[in-house]
Amino acid sequence: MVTERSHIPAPGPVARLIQELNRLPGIGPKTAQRLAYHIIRASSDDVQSLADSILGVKDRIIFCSSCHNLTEIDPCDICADPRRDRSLICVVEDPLDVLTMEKVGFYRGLYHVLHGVISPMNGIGPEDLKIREMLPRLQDGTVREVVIGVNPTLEGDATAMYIQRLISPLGVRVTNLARGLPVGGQLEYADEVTLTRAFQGRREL
Amino acid sequence: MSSRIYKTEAIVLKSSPYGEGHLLVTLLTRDGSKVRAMAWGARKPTSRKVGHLEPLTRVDLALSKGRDMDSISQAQNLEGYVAIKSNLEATAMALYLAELAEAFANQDSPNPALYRLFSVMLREIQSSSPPEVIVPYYQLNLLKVTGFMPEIYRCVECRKGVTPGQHRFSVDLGGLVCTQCRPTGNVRLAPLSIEALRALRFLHISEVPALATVDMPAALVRELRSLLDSSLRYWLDREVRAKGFMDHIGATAGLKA
Repeated sequence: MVTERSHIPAPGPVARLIQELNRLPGIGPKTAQRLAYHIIRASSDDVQSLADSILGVKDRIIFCSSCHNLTEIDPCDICADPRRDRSLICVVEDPLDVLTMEKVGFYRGLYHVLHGVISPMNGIGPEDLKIREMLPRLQDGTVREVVIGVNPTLEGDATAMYIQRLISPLGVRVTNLARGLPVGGQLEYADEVTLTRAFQGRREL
Repeated sequence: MSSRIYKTEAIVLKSSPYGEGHLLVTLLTRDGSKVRAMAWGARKPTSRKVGHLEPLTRVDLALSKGRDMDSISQAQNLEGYVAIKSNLEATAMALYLAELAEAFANQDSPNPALYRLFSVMLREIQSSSPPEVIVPYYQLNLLKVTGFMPEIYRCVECRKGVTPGQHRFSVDLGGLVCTQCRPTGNVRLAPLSIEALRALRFLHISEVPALATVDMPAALVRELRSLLDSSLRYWLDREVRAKGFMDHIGATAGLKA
């Protein structure tokens, strides 16, 4: 005879912590449990430090009113830096992309963070992103080129085409980061779209 | 003992990032089944699978069966629908069609007709000037191949043939209601123009190539879309999310321009 296993619930505060951790992206119920019991075992100082840093993010971090990147002061360091090229704006999906580009250090212009891409099947449309917020930045003629630096996915490309359609009438040049074969990749495994774009974007040696 | 590896042709309906560099992919396989599979490492730039598993790509796949979910071990692009992906209206329309295919496909019951319909529609949108009637054609035929076809010849109440002009349409009852019948209960009855009824019957029996010669007035296309949108909403019990974006950019109108 099969009997049902008795289920002893975690004490109230622990159950609540597990539930809250479980709401984080990429954290399943088992990982949430492990994290919760790690927090219980950690010293009070460590837990206080973790709680302070979480609250600090919510209290002190705001969106830059110009580029919509995360910042402690408005405008953000990049927008306020007089050495940046103000004729260039690179449009990226999220704040992590700004960090990635800054780590490379090649690009010296400004940014505009969309906070996502158009994703029709997930119900995310242009109005859910910071697309229209870019238009006032293009009005005074300082910006000569908008570089679209969203991920080269179907949804990223749809977002790029939408932005291009929206801002082209303003007389601003709209470019896309080059599409093609990745460094270290192999031609044999390239897909049709990548190869087509690689041919379209070929350059003289 | 059956092999854990199987091969199939499929169209990628949807893919979402999963964890560090992985991709969770929803496929419509050649036999018309919906399969959710994991492509480990597929978001890394040097992955052999990168690019092959983008939504709206027809692929040849090798999958291995898993306890909870299958994994994609190999993917080879067969058709990338580059023309669709280079055009905003075509992309919006194709994603709407893909969401509907995903919503109506079933994991456990194959439906080869659904795969045929969807792949033919993608090829049609890929053509340089797809007709405006593509969306209502797909909506109606999707309902047909999945067993939800509205009754457009007989009255759903008395089962007698309906004379055009002596009819109304009920989404709740699933088709035409003649003017003699008085359905009981909370049933919505909406007018349906004779032209729209004729258009529905035409779309029901037409092959796709015939659509290229069809030039329907915009008002008629709107009436068909509205009726079929209501039917789809009734069966799905929700809005089709991608419809908002397709309507936002005026997909069907823009393609003809």
